[in-house]
Amino acid sequence: MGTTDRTYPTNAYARHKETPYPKAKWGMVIDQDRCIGCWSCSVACKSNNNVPLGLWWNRILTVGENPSGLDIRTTGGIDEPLGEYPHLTLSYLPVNCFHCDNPPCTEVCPTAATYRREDGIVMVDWDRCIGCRYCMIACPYGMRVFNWGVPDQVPANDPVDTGTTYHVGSPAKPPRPKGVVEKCDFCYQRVDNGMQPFCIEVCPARARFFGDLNDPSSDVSQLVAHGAVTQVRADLGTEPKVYYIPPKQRGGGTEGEQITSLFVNPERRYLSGTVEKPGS
Amino acid sequence: MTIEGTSTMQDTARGKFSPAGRAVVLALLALAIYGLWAWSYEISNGLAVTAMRDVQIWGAYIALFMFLVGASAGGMIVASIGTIFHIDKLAHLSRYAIMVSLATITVAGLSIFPDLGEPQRFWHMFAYANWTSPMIWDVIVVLGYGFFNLAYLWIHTRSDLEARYHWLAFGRDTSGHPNAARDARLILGFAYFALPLAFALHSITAFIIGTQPSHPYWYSTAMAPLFISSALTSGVALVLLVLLGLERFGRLEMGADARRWLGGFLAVSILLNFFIIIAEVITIAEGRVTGDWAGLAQLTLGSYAWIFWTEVGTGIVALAMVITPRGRASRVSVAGASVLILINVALERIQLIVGGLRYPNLGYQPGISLGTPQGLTTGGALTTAGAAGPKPFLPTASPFVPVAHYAPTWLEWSIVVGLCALWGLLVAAGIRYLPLSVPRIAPAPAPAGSPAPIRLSDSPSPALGHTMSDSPISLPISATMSSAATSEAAPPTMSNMSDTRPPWMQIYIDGFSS
Repeated sequence: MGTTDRTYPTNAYARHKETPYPKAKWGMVIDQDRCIGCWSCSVACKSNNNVPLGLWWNRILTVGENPSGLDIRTTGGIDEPLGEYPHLTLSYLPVNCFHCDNPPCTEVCPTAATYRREDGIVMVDWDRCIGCRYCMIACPYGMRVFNWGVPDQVPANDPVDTGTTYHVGSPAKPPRPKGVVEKCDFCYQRVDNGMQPFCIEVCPARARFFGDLNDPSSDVSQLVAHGAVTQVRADLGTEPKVYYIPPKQRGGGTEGEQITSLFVNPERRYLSGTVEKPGS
Repeated sequence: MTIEGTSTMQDTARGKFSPAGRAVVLALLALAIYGLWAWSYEISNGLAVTAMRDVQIWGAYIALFMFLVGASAGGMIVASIGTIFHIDKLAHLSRYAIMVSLATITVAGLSIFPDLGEPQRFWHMFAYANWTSPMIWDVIVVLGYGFFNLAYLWIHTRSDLEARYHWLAFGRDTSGHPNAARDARLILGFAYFALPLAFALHSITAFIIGTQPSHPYWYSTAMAPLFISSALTSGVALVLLVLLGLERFGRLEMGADARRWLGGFLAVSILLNFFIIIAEVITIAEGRVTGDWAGLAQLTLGSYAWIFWTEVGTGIVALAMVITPRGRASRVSVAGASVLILINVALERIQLIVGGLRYPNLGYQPGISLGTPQGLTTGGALTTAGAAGPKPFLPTASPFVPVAHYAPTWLEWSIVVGLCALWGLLVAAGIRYLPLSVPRIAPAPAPAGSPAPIRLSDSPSPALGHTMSDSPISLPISATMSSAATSEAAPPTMSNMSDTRPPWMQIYIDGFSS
């Protein structure tokens, strides 16, 4: 860890003035009925983005009782159903940064190290972050994570250190300095090259959808229009761009019509819709 | 420059510390150096050595910062309010109060640095300032208040500073009557400027947390008034403690009337503090908005409720100690109330920061990642390669928590103690090296026949016409002390009062009738 002789570009994560799709407004739709809580997206995210040990950009929350307030459940666990037998339900809330249109985090960052790109992706510039963690205070959703110690990875993602000739994850995500904030960035290095974020590609249940909310023909636009979507704590005025299709089959019953089944795209690596793939 | 022991005043102000005092200073120095070492340890190992994690984002350092910012209000209360409202009995305490404020705001500013993950990038705040962030405004106002206090102290003391440290006059003639008149005018101007600046300081510090709708516990209009009222209580309590301590060790004669006035101010501030808390609690309790209601339940019944109730208890006891004239007449009672109020405000800040961050908005299991490879053991029998090889690890506990569990680590305590020791050192240095001691204005007799106030246009007394730049030892001031000592027995009349006070004080107390 910590060698200066990186094989990565040192400022690969610095602010982009120009984005390949300036007219786009990237968003995500997650079908809670489809999510099986397997954490594949979380692990894929950690791997692709070189997220250090103990930090998670992408988590699968098990929907429980009373998400805020005094009597928060501390004894429950993941995969624990809600309700009393035999009326049990189990649903998941996969969360990553919501890339709010009105992000409270960029507003409070004293150095503008976290900022909103013109295509709506909220970024963190690790070379500018001073580690005050005010953005983590401002984020109502707890999506931001901090490198409290020296970022540790197993295996270490620096080929110079490990003596290996390969590295895990994207070269666009270099080793972080300690003491900076990081979070999901919709895999901007993939999106900028016409690819879906990695969590979309790996989801075995195909519960996640990603696309351009400004393009009415995209999956996400149609799902937002017709899927009775909700946002997490939309009352805070942050306008999150990650939408959820809430679970419908509470307490068992027959399998209903799933609107998302109309949109499951066999091609999951590349962006769909009218977005042109660069270089194709 | 100065010959020690030439005047009573110089003796009092420049008197060296006793052996016990020197031992205390040495202990403070050792603690401050230990704190510095602890900070260097934290820099090399990262903030993982603290108990803060991704749920408990801020901890002891921010609580200390907010406590010290509040406690730096003493200069505003004693010096500025005293000057603007012509409270004679506080005039001789102004310099001490400003010095305490300066030390407190300095340490407050420094206490931010151990909280930063990348302290060496602090300059980014100025290079890439984002003006929508309350933190930028707070940095500016803390720096502004610090430099303002420095200038305020310099203006207050420069006529005497020149005698001691000639270079501190920056080549300007600061002695003599016209200069004293100019200084008095400046002091009045500074006093008028200090009040809004201090209000801005406490409000903007409150806005850092009070403008966050993601934390219903904090998101309140009452936060800024609460910070003002707690700044008044803790500011006056801190100055009172320092002054009573100085009085105890014979370095200052505070005066019973000043103590009574400050004790009364303390009582009124405690009442104001209670008023704001009660108004907030009643509004939330009647409203029953889910988030606010949960915050209130957390405050009064949750796992940190004991802090809140200790806060209420210390406030009530302190109020009882200073609310009666009899209580304010007793040094022990006033000092005890001050200690209780400092505990009260410190607990309030801990309650705000630690309690306010305990529950994340999305409290579903498994919660928020901790941000350190906690729960993973590396190495052990599975290690096959050397240090350069891949490190195997075993998961032993969840790296997620849904609720924060925070108690500062020994390292956080070390840095907090080191910063407090630094505050003690700064105050001790101020007492030891700065000319803070000025003669007290004895209470004037009942204005029978109300003699005309002394006017500048009237012929000045020979003492006032004396230029201090010629002889560094100011004769009028040394003469002052001897007459001030006797003034307790025989209250001076208005005519001889002009001789018992230094020129700057006469002018700013009596006004600028020209």
